Amino acid sequence: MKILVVDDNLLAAVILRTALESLGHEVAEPAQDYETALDACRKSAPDLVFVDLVMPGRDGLELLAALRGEFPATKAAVVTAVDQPGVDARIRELGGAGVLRKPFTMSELRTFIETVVKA
Amino acid sequence: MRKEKNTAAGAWHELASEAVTRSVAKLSRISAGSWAIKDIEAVVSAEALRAPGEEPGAGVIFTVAGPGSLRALLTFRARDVEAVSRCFLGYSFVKMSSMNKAEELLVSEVGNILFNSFLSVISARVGEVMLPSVPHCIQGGLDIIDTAFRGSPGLTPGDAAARLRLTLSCKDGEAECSVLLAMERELFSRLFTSGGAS
Repeated sequence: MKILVVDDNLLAAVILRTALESLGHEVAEPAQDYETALDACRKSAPDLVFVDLVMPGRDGLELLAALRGEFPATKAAVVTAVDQPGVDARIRELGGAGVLRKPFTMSELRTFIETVVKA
Repeated sequence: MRKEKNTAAGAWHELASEAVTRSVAKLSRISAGSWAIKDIEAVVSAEALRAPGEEPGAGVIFTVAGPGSLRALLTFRARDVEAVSRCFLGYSFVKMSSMNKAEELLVSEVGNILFNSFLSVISARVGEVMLPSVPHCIQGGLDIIDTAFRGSPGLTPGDAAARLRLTLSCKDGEAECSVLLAMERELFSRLFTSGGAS
């Protein structure tokens, strides 16, 4: 699967990218904000985008909305340490494919991707 | 863990225990080592805002905008970052006189997980969604970091404040984290009168 990671924290992006590659996925160069994420989607057309919720400038919720409008076939999931039911509900409203809570284990990541793909 | 006698400090202590228990469990699941809470100490109001020593360290600042604004500063002593790194990643970065970018990102990420555990408890108690800002990491003497935080826009002398000193044991070492929380009185009242810690 072709995947894009969007996270302004480079360490978090690299950890997720490495984990995804070890699971056999093709992972594009991480994007660090709203604009570079959309540019990367236009260039690489990923199947799945992992979106950090809290980012400088436009946040992950705004990016979810933009992805839904411009790339309706691309699944977008949120990866975040924010753990609040109200935020999860907003993510669902915006068409988010799921929420991967930081910190996560490798097996949680594998299961999460399987669930997202099946949905 | 220490039992706080003062009522306000006790309420903060209870909130911190709930939050830190969550984050320590989360961190242990994914870290190379196991994390545990060794001690939580709560200090409230004016005393909480007294600057710590001049020891070098790093601070991560978060703000939550909205009607009941909240600000937080999580500080780690530089000498503890090695233990945090070893426990989280299984190794520590090359020791330098100041923290490198990788260590800053690590401190931001651990601070992010700790702070969001606090925010999760606070949000549930007041029944509101509270989205944090991007973590802002600064380095320097702990006293300078503290002064910078207290001088940041939006903080007022009337805000309710508490400093929570967390001692976490991780793998072969220990790490202290100071969590300085400041919030509008109105939010503070709702937090501790909504069936929570009061």
